[in-house]
Amino acid sequence: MAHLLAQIEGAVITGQELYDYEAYFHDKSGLSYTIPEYLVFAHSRSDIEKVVEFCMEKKKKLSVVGGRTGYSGAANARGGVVVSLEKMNRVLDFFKEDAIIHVEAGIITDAITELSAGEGLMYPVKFAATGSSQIGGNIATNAGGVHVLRYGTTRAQVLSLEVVTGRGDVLNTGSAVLKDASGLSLKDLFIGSEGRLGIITRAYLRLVPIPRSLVCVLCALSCLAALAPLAKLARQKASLHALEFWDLACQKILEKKSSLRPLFNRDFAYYVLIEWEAESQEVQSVLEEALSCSLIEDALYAETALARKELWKYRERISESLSHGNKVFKYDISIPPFRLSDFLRNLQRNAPEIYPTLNMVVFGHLGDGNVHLNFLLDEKEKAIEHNSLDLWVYEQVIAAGGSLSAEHGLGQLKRSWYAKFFPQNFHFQQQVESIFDPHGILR
Amino acid sequence: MNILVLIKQVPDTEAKIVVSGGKVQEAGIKWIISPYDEIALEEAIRIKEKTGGTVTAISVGDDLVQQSIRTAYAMGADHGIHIKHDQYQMLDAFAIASAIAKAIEGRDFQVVLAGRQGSDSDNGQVPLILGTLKGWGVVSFAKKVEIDSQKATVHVEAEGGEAIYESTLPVIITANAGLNEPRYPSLKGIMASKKKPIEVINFADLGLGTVSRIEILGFEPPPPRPQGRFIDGADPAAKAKELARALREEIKVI
Repeated sequence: MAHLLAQIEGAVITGQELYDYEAYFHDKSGLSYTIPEYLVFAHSRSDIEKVVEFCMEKKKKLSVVGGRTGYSGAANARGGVVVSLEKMNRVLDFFKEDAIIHVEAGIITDAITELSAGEGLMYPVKFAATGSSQIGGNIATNAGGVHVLRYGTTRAQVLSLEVVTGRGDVLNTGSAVLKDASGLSLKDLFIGSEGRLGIITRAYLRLVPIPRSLVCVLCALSCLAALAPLAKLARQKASLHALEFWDLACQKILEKKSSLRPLFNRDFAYYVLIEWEAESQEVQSVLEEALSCSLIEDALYAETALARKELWKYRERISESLSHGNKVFKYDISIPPFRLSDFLRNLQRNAPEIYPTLNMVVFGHLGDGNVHLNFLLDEKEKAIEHNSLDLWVYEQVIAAGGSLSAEHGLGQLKRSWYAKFFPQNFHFQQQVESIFDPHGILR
Repeated sequence: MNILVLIKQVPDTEAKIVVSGGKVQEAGIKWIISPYDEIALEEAIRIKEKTGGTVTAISVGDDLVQQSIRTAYAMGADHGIHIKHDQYQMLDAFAIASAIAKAIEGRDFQVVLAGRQGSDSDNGQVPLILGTLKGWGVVSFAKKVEIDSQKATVHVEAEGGEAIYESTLPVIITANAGLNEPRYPSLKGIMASKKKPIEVINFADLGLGTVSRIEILGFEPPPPRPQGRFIDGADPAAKAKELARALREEIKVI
């Protein structure tokens, strides 16, 4: 084995044995990957430093993997070395009074909440995969999820990072305090950098109090036009926690593939899941108003913790049930919320002209305009060229003032599109990347 | 078919229970219908939807339990009876069953449904004592219920299979998990439920006197978990030795 890797505390996998670790070489995107020469399970920051030094010396590509729950191929192996941080999953410090936790990057996202729940605290970023995603990956992709409306994205939770850069420096980005105006914010460069500047090894995160009382309501809507006014009405409650939606096609697929039962005794065009930190009586008046202006047709209440979990299953299982037995083209995009209805209407109107049988399924985060567009393809449609579908979708996203990637990152999937639509931004991103990764081992 | 459902209001399964001064501190607790009782209620509403009749929800407690009766209305119950007792925590199962037996005297119920046990105390006695007091049959842990005008057929999970009981009416049936999935109260149901009256009966007016046979002396929190101990050192073999020694000599488990 190569000299530097032999000094590593953690495990190094190589040769035939690599084939037993195939799951470590790709995320959930289904995009291509190249089996690496080495897979390293790092145990410490010094292991990571050695890996980086090795890759610089031998001119190897280095890919960093967390929970591999991404959808953009950013974590996919590119030959060379893959480093997993899953063994670096310790809590280093817990400042209960200040609601701050210091963790290693390999800790499972939900584990942070489990560990701090005893103190009445939680880590506020939550999405379908937080049971298996790792905090380092969340930071590297600036993960969003269902509580962005209330607590912001991962960026809002990170106070400070320890990073091993692509040149092998160990960098502490700043003090672990909420207010830090010390020039350019280095941590913010690494948040969302998708592992292209360095490897995040440790993070100080802020925690938030566990909400006192949550009321979760599922609203049934008969038309697209009601989405925006309902969101506006829901937002008037300052305590809005989550505002999610899905369309009838999602609901039908959920009922079929996830064995979840129908919730209403008839079908509706859209379903909106709203969660408030409030008492149910406070929420009642909002819903009654929505009903009286015909924004909603009916609504279901989940007042108990059990019922709330059951209702959230519908939202959380959409993604996996769409992929179940289907070929799906997924688009994770953001649209300014007030243009969302128009955007979706345009897509639906234009779709038939371009691909007559295109089966569009929509769900996402109504509150922040993050839409997950999905195109389900049957056998005949397999011929559709991904590229032309991409172009069609992204042109409309840009026209609506939206973002090509809301929370999944650019990865392999969208980098060239980003370069096409935002050449100047892309150029500066590349400049920054070459500062922290001058040998191009991370890119 | 007129059905009575016994409803117990309990702290939400995720509520943090604070015990101090020998009592459960109720401030900040969210109260819900005990999950098994909710299943019983759902079953009653389904039977009503199929065969007609009425569903009456009954609950013993302070004024707070009216919330749960309103939730029962929102799900589809027709009537609600609140047996009011401000110190209900100190009542035992016999007292509660006696109060219910007395309150339903002269009313015509063919089926009584209840959860197999309350999610707070896990006693599971009230339906059984009620059966004894009324002289009605009781079938516990139902996972499937069929009712016609003459009889109830109740399927119950049994060791290695399933037991099927047939009972004359009236009958008391307790619901197990898996009997059904309770519906969510709907907005329209909640709006309608606000206008429905709840029948209130004062416990003291039932003429039962001091009926509890069991005195609850107090509540105590479980002892806090002792802090974990780390075995430090650089040498794994020495650490393993120390662990083995501690397990054998200090904790005495090996």
